[in-house]
Amino acid sequence: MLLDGANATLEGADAPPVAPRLTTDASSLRLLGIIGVNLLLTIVTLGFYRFWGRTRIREYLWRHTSVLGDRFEYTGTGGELLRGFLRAVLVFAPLFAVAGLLTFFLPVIGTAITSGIYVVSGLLGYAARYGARRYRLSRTRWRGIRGTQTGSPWAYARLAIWTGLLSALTLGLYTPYRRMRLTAFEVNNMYFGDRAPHFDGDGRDLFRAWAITWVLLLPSLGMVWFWYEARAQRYIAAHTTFDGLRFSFPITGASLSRRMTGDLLVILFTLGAGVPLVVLRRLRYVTKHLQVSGSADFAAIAQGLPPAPSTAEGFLDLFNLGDL
Amino acid sequence: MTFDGHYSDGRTAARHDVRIELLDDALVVHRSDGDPIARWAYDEIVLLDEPVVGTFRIGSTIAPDERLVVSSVEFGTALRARAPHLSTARRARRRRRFFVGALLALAPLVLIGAAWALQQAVRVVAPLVPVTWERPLGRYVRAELIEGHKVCNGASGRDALMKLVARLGAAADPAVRFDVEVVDFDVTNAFALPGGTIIVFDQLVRHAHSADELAGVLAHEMAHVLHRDPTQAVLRSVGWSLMVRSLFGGTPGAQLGSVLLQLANSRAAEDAADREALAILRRAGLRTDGLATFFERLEREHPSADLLPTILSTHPPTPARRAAIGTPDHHGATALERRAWNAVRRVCYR
Repeated sequence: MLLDGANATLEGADAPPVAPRLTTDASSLRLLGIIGVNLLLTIVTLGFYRFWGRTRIREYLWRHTSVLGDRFEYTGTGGELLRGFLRAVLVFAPLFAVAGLLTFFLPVIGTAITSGIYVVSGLLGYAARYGARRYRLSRTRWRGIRGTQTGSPWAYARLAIWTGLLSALTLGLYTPYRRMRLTAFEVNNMYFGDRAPHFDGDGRDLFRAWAITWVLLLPSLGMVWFWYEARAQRYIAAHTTFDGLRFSFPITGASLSRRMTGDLLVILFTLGAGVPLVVLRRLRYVTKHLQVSGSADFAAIAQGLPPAPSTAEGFLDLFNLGDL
Repeated sequence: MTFDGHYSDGRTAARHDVRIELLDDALVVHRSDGDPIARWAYDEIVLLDEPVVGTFRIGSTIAPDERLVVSSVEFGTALRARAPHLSTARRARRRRRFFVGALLALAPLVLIGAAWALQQAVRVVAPLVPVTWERPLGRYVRAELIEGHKVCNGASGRDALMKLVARLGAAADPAVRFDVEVVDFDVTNAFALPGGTIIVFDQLVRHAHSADELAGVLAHEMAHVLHRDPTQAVLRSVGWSLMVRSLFGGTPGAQLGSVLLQLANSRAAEDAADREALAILRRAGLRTDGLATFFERLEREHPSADLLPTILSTHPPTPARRAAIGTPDHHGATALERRAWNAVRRVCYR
């Protein structure tokens, strides 16, 4: 079937365990077809189909991604996305309407209120992103076992803003610490069944690389950033474990820059409609480079915590932060 | 009938190699040692998906966490024969696909319908906008329109221009506070804003061969103000932007097209403004052939290949327009004496 380990049984202790690699057999052409139909239907329905369209794209990508020959399953629905969006609109539409009217008649106050809304929504953005992650994970299954993202979106937003301020105050030198703290929050709260991966990275280990990047950023016209980014991603993979599994992600700055340039071109040439293609490109990049060693006792991973939110992503859609 | 497959019990993430037996009333899952571990009645079975042709992932409504995966075309056929509701689901999917296709064919109609509905709504709403709201609205549009460009204020040029506007304005409607600004921008165009402000780009002034041509354009824009076309245009642009936002999820960057293009009026509104402009010029005692000569020369000189929106793209030349403005009339006074006209032409270069 898809991969070498497809026929491995995990019950049998005799056979040497096969490391569970991530694979994908999604086709860009099929995905493009779904995007095209979604675009047309979205226009015909004056925008309302986009929730169902996004769901179809997720269903497609999820079921064409597998581990040990077992495919992922996306169980979210368009109706849930629509309800989340409407909830967000109910909160924000009156605010924007009032601010818009005020801008006409009392330009100063109106503009102040509008900027206030944008600042608050910037804060909301982090919480929304985290909430969307929680929603997606709760609608993801593998072998019938659900994912869960624990941790409060508001705690995440507070951490993101607070460390963001620290980064700004230190002229960016705090950035690697911030990245590792946020990654730890995300990864350590990401459950599959009753088990979460463990991430033990520390920004200190990346500080030297970041300092070099920081100095060379302008002289190298930004190219050094790719070198740093590849290094940070290698570091994150190396410091993450799941049950008995260890990861390594041996990518180079050059391959990362090629992929990201390609991503940008796809976005530009499709006027933004090709975002799912970029997601697929990233997925293929990960499946190509991610190496897994060790073994996991899947029989010991139980169905996990109670299912999370009934709707989500509303705020995300309103500010167009959703990337898929 | 028996088939091989994989089963997960929904309690742990283990995968079991199993034998599946299709009985008369239920599907039974056996472990490799023969013990039955699950029994699903046919009417509780749901076909979750068929990722590759011939690979079936099925579940049960009674045990929603359990999963069974079977890679066999014959299994699909045998299962559908015993659980007819799965075939119904497939037929429903085909029906839905047909419906979707039909909707797609209607897409252009829906868009045209939306544009038409917006235009009708704007026509009803525009007269309801209080006149006192129009000036702040105009200020708002003005800021967007001339952003980053210099407003020209050569003193003698402005004086001459204001005198001309006062004369035309009195003939148009003394109740409206008309105002004109020349903006240093290399586009041959002019716009009326809600509330009575008229923006003329400097390149239009330079393209005009006489003050009469400029007076014709000014009268035309004043006519738009009298007909409240600018207010309609702003409402239309807001309406479109709302629609685009609902389409693409509130992207600030999705505001397609510029204010310049959105301020374009319908052809009917243009023809009406042309006729009104001639009436204004006549009442002001000015000669009325400027508008016609200006447009004719522009058409000759610019065979519509410009990238930037010129006055021709927002005021397309049509037979109706020619009919409305095409009768040259030499009666009446010249709009500005030579020295004043020269001052207007230098308003951006003191």
